Amino acid sequence: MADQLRLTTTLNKAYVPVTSTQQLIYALIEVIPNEIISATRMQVNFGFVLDHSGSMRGAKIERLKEAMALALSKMAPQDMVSVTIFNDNAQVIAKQAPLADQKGLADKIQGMRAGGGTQMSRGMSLGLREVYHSFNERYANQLLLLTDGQTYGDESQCLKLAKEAGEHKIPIQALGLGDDWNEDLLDEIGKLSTGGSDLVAAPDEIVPLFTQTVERSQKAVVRNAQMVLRLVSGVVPRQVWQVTPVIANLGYTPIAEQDIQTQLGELDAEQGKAILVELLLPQRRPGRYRIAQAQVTYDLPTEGITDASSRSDILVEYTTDAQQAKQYNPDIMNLIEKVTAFKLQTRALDEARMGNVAGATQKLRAAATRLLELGETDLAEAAQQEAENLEQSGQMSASGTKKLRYQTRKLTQKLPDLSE
Amino acid sequence: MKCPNCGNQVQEDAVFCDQCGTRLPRPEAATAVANASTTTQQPAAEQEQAAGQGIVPAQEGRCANCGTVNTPGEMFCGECGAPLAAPQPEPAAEVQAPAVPVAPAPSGASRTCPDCGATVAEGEEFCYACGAEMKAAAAASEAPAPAAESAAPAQPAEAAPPAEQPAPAAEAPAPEAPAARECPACGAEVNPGDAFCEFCGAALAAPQEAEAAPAQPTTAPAAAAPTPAAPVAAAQPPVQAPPAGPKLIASSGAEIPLAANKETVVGREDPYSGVFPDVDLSPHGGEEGGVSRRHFKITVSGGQYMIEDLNSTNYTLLNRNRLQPGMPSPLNDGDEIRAGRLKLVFKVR
Repeated sequence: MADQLRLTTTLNKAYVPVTSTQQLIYALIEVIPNEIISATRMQVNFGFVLDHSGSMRGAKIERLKEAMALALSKMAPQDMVSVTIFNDNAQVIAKQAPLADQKGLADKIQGMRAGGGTQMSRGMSLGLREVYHSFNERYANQLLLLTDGQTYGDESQCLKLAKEAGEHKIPIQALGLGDDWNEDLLDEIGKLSTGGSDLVAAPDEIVPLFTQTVERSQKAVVRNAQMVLRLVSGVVPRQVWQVTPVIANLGYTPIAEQDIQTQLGELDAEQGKAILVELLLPQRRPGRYRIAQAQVTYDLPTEGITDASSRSDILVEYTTDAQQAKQYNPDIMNLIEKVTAFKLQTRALDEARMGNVAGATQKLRAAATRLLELGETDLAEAAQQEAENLEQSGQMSASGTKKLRYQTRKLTQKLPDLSE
Repeated sequence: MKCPNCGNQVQEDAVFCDQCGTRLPRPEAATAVANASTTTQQPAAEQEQAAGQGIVPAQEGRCANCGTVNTPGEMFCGECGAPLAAPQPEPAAEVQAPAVPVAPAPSGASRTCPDCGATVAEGEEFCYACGAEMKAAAAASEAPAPAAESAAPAQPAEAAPPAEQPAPAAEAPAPEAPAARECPACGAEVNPGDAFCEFCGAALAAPQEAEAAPAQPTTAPAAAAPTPAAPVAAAQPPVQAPPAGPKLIASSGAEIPLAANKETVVGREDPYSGVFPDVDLSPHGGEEGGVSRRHFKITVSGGQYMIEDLNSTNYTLLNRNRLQPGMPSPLNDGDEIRAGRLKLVFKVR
């Protein structure tokens, strides 16, 4: 049994009431790396693919240069790195090579000039080729893609490349700068490549986001993690959410009558991952029950370990005591509320896209209330504002939509606010 | 209501499944189904719980803000996000014991789960079937002694097609007697009343259904039967007489028997991902024919057989008409079924 990862399970309530109906319970499963793993860092094989089209002119490209300088300073001399820039055309300004050997890289970055249109697939294609060239299982292989605009006519090519990147185990972190980029496309690129996507709301945010992306990649020590939940008879899974590092609906696949599987992908060395599982419990007599067993299997390329696993039991006590049944775990309640806000917001955006203005407005208002309760005044305001925009014009604003979409994912990144 | 693609419980008015993203059917079509089974997801679980579950009482889980009825235990209203009241224990509630005992692995000392009757190995802290805590109390096992050393534990992975009149059944007394019977999917010995086979996880016929089933005493195990065709049946050591129940006939002429009174999932066995359909089409060219691991299922109710595509990759065709996933269609004697490229003919007997 491997002890690099520890699993802990906490329920939103340790006691569930004995009832004559099914009831829902939330189980928080935390996957926590041990100290040795927490201190481990991956060597990186990193490709930057940067938009230098005309719209990048001014503050954007200046911040981008700063961001590159800082990101590179976070890398080790033996880390592999390449830089590809694109507008209508693409050009590799630094071929994939150890950072130590990259003479004049800083000058090349400083020499970037904004101009021209946007043909993202060309940049992706060249950039991926560079990363693939030095691909190493034991490295964190990753592509960082930054764009500030719509790409013209080559969306399907971008998606094809993203899918190939995923197949070659090169996740793409797609960053969209400002308001005028296609979030559906970047989200899909992130998803298909098993990477992610994020919003860079203002030029100033490029610098921290680049650094974070590089650091996250160095900390992606645990790979190919997947969780299997073995449920006892009568227990039915409903939803599986990732709550940290960011909120996401992970979904699940039934693999046997009572077993479900969820892909967890990479795990952060320090943070690990926290999963919130919604389970429907059957009726039972009072007493203690093990309703499920969770098992996480994973690889640790730096240690040469594959298919290690850790497990944890999920126990619950059925009670007829009304007092016991009222006890809740406040930390988990806070997480559930954040997931609820995320869920309402996601459904609101889906419904707005479907043209269901009334439904979307109502969901946005509901999300705003939740966000306000959570102390997220900024986001609550954005949700409220978009509800009004919808009501008045039948449309949401691009910036508001992006803000809601990308910021609500990160609700759990702040410490739970229990002061109230 | 449930998502027809992945079975996820979704809000009544949802347009997309938030689990798998599938576009959901219009509510009016789904209402009837939703009412029938408020919260269960898996067909087997439905059967097993239909009796005790009933409809969620109106006040339980009702949102004070917008009136939406949520699942009891949910913390926030799915519609408006308002916090919900906690469900209260119902001391008066007649909570029935989970009727889901599963056959044990008869290895070494064992005890009987006080809650569901499953036989649990000594030293286990919890019942593997219903999850009840096993008190360290009396180890006295009143479980029916596992008859003989059935071949079961040796071959959990072998999901051979159902041979529904196993030899032991011939000697079995009335169905209500606690006698052992076999799993139609893998042949493992299971207890009457078990909902799932412990070894292969296949859903087992409910006891009452078994009663209704015409008891077809088989002849003595080996001797008599000439065992025509059926290379599948050969996978099972004790060769049976050709079953007289419903069956699928492969293009090679091989007969694949189906269980008479239960749901049969037909697909392609994949031990790697732990998928063991009741009927495995691998020996009949399932892999090359593009058969999904869970391709289609055949159910029977009131003497009428139904076939339902389980969202297979390469579709199920009934008499050359493509079936809509999740929509059962009547299946009659002599009908042609195509699973991917694999052709089968359905025979009632």
